[in-house]
Amino acid sequence: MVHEMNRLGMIVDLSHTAASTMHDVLEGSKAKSWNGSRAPVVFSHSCAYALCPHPRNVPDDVLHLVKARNSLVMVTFSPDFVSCRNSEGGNKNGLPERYDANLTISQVVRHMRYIGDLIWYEHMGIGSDFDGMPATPQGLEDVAKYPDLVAEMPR
Amino acid sequence: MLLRPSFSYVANCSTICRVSPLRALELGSPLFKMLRFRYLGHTITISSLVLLLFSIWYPGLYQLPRFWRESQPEPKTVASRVASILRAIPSFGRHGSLNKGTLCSRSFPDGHLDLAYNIRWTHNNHIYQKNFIDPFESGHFTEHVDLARLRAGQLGGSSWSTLSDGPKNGSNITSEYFAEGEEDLLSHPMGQNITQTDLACDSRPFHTWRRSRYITPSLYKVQTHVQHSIRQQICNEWMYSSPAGSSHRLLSKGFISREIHSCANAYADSALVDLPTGGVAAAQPC
Repeated sequence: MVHEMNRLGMIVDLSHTAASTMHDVLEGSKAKSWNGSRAPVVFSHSCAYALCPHPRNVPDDVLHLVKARNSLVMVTFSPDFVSCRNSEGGNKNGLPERYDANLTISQVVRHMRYIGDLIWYEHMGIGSDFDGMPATPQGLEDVAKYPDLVAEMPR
Repeated sequence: MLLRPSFSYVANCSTICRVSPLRALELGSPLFKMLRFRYLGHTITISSLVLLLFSIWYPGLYQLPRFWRESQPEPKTVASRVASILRAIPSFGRHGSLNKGTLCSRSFPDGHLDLAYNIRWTHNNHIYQKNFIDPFESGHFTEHVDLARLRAGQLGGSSWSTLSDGPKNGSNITSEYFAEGEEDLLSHPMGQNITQTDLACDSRPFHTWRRSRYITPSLYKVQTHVQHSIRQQICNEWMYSSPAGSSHRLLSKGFISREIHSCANAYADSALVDLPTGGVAAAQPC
């Protein structure tokens, strides 16, 4: 399926996938004689797993594969992926608990800087998920707040 | 640096060039003292120039001439601050300079906006009615995105996300599934006059998708399970590469799997699974 998408010229979006699928698409599998995607892929709305251990976020080892594949991770503002903490395996559904006290524009910038510092800023973008999330980080209430995000970055 | 004239003198002297360096330094010491005072001014000037050029070139020392920038007036508002940032950011992060073409010298795009999803569920794609147009243009539209706020946000562009819930049985896909979703809405701003008939199942990409189901037996299951995603990709691809022309050919997005986690196929692995009772849970590794 991935190769068919490559052939059609579609960008593969890995934002909703598990880490195993991220590895399969970015790295391939020798056992399966599969080299992964033939084209760069994107994570259209994901954050750094190291800062928020949510299964939808991107672990460090995958981030290095993103750089190796010349791909892109776009940081999202969706609360569950921005600010969370893992308490003994998470909640009853195996997900980390959202930590609203840290749900701020500064935390979004921390994700951006973490990914940018780790794999360089050419592989980092912004995928807000505005209009698709029930709440927003403090300071990023709507699309009019993008300038605030840019202003926050160099601090 | 100050020893260099002495060694230079020693190296050019045929009478003492075969002695040891230490002895040569002792022999050359009177001349060395003379040269030190004679060229002291030149040495200081050249050293200063080298240090200045090095501080400008080396990212970590770029902050040395900070006194000049600190003498400039500080931006008083967010808008002026952003404007100054967008003009140029000489250094950012511990790795040195940020590529100006990446984020800061131009407006950046947003890779994932669910505006189409919002319009679909709040206005059923009826974007020509007054109850949509007025709030959308004035900045009072529901949720997070409208025209006025987009202007204020100075967003350079965005990738529109679409979602269509397809049939769960993996078949019986008809044109209504395309036309009733957000893809239909996206056709209007693009001005391509796409009709329901145009989105019928006999379009080229749709046939491509149907053929691709049988690429390998292992892929068949993936595409059956996640056919709603495949359909979304195919529909978007068809729209963006339509004869009307569009530069958005690569804006299609394809979630490999969202709704169904199949341990029988690694490529169907999704990070989250939908629970029958509602909500989501972390997918368990196979």
